[in-house]
Amino acid sequence: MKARLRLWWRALVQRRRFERELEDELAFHLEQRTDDLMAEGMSQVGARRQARIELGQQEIHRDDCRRARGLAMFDTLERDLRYALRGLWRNPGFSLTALCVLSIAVAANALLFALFNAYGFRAPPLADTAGWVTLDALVVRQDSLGLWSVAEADTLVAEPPAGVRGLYGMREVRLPVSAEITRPVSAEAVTANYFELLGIRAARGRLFSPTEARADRGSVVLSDLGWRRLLGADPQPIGREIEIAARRFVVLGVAPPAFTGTTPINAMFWLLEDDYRQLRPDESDGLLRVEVSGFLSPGTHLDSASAALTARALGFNALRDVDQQIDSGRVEARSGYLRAADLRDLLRACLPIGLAFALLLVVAAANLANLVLARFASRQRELAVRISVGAPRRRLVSQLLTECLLLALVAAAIGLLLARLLVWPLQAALFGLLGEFGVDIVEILIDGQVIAYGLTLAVLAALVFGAGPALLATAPWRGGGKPDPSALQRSSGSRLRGGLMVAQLAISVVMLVLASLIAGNARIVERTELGFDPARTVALHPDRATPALLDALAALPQVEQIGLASRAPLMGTPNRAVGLVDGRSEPLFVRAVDTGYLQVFNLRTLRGRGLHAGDGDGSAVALISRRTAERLWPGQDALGRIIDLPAQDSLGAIRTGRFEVVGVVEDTVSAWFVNGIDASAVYLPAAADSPALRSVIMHTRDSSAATLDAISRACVRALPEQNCELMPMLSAVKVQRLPFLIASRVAASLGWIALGISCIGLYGLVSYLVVQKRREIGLRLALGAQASRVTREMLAGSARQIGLGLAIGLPLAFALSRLAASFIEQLRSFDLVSFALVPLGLAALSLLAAWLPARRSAAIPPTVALRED
Amino acid sequence: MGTASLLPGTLDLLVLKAVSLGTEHGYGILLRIQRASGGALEVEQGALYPALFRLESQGLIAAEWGQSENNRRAKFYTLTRTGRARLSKETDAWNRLVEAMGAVLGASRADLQA
Repeated sequence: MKARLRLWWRALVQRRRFERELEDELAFHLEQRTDDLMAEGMSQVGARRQARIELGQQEIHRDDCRRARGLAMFDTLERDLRYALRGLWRNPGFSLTALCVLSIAVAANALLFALFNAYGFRAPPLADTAGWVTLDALVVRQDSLGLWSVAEADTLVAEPPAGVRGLYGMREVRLPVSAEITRPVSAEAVTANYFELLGIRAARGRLFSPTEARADRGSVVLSDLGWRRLLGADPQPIGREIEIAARRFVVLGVAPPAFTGTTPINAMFWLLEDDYRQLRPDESDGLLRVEVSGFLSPGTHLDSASAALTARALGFNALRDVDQQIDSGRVEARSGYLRAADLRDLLRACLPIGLAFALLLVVAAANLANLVLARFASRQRELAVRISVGAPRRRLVSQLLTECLLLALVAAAIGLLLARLLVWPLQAALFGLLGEFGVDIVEILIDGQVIAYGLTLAVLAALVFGAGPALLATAPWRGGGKPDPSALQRSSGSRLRGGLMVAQLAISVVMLVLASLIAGNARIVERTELGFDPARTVALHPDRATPALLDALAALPQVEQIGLASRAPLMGTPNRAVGLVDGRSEPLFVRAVDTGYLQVFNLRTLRGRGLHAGDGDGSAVALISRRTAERLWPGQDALGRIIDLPAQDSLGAIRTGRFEVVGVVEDTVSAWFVNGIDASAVYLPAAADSPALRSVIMHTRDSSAATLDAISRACVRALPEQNCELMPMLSAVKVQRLPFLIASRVAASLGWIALGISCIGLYGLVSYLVVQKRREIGLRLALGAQASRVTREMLAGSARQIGLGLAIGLPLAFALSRLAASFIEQLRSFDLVSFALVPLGLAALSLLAAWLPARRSAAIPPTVALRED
Repeated sequence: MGTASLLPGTLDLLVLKAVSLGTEHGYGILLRIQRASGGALEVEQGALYPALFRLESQGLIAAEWGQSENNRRAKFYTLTRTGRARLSKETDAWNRLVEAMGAVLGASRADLQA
């Protein structure tokens, strides 16, 4: 077997040498035979002639020799490829359309796969990812696979349950680092065995080690990114100090560039879990934030390990809150940066977009099948000639498939190149904003796996759009022999082509209508007036706004005004409460604020008064927004009315009781952007030292990096153990608008591409029909038929298909939009533009695509058409 | 004595045998077969080369380029170890076949009744 492969391979790669040697061997034979015949008395000319006759047909022998070496298959393939290339070259319209259609679909799908690949399938560079698992706590009430508390993680790591070994604890943290500027960065707090278990080796210095756990306290390991950003790529980083949350840490080592941690967010550094507990004692009690991962013991099944974990995890319930009770433990295999549960969430979130991309591929494949079908059908005569000179049907099918395959491979190459070019802009659009917050995400790459995926997709598409048409085109010769003329007529597959066209048009309708709906919603979001100016406004969310912090901030020359609130605007919905108004129960959004809050946002008072300095100290007054006033007391004056807020859990530390409305202020968008203007807003005054006031909002002199840095520094100094993450309001606006922008852009481009593909397909199909019916049309025109009538009849078929496409697509789009609206309540699921103008435009465009070639039919001179055959 | 055409499937065996007698080029192998049969077997010259390629691909013979007795570049074939084993196996099988055929063809009514 080995010898055979070696010979075969040598013949394949040194083909010229193989042919030369074959030639030489036969020539030697002829010379020897000639010599022998001359020795028997023949003349040289006669001997040579006789030798040739005896050897027989040399070309046939050569072919037999090639076949004996296993080269025949490649010769056929090469011939097919050359033939296919010639065919595609001669039909540039068909080839270019097909390449365009398929490469765009491949590029879009490859990019989507690259996204999943980056987080779900590409593993961090561990020494060995086999058996890498994550331990999860299944909490049914939360419908999620949760993390562990610090104490639980400690127990699990110290004594792993049966079936797993080598467990480590890890949590993603954000900590302010003071280098040139002070800003919070992403890091991982890990147990001392983290690097050793994962098999990571230091690029410089050393990493944490379980044997040195005590000595390693107070030190950090930098990632390559951290080393560049925080130390300016200092060639001697070991032993340098870094200030983290107002404490100095010594650099122990630098991790290799490829290792950025085990989560999709790149870690700037790693610190020991024990150190983190000292920095953030508040986060170490009941919060469930620690991931516990490790490796499956050899020979253990995930199920049995999960059972062992469940037995242990149930023991933790005694110390857990009621709504955090663990139902079972689960050991999940880990394949990439995301935990299995997070990967499932990502998949679920991306399912609609994945479906849209898949639909695009379906449109492309259907379109190609149509094009190929038309092209094959127009080649009936060529196929018939080849069959009649002895080509078996199998050869014809393989020939036609080769053509599709060639097309698919070229399209895949173009598509992957396109994906490669687009991956950077895409990344920048998706995650560029996160970079502004100092969050770096694992890079999306077009790597080997993505390329393999793109190629597979293209080959599958080639089989789908090639196999069907190829079988149909050669169907009349099924079973060999002479085909029946009626079969030849039928085999053009006109019904299938019509069906494919309708399907494409229907999908285009669905995609365009949905795209238009999404774009409409995005426009609404874009145009939404906030009701305040987000520029030069910065929010801060410490757990407690201490007087020390407020004094430090007030002392900064960059800070012009400070306001306090239970929650800053655009940081999630305010507290939702049920109030009693004139005996009715009303849902209300309640926000505790101080007097500064209204000044920071410059909220205009429309009726009554604003807040006075003493209002927080026990007086029971409230301000409400204009919309709240109109809703609670339509057509009446709201001033002097009473809102009763009974004690309820959702209000937290906010004061409850009876409040008199003393003023009505301007409406704002203060919850999520998508919710639009607040349905209700009740502002309750609170004293500056109230525990309800947890957000600090500042109006700053400017929005420069230096200003943000000064505020960060002041916060870290005043509250070293607190979270000093700054959120400029403009960034919050951008972050909230982003999903809409992306969704509308992606949807719009998908919709347009699908429509483009369908129009190209329609144009191609009608063109083909016109060519096919030239003779019939010519004859009719010669017999006196009116040109306009001929054109109309050609168009009628397309019009039927377009009508059918709309009839199927529109209800489908409506159903899908209702479905989407059931998930997002603020989504507008119907607008006239999407459901009337867009379909009309689509119908007009596709009719135009059909009319252009149909018009040509009327211009066919009867003489030309009749002469053609 | 007239010439006989080859039984189908026997060319490979004849080539193996001819090569087993010593390293030889294609034309020489042809002559060997003809001479050994006393001119009784006529090997179709064109069929020889595909057979040689086939046997080489199966690893039964090995080929190497060299000089012929009259100083021409020629491809010489040698029997490999696998080829030798195959030859002896096929020869045994052939002999059994010949014996059986001979027995059947030489049988008389008396033999069968005995």
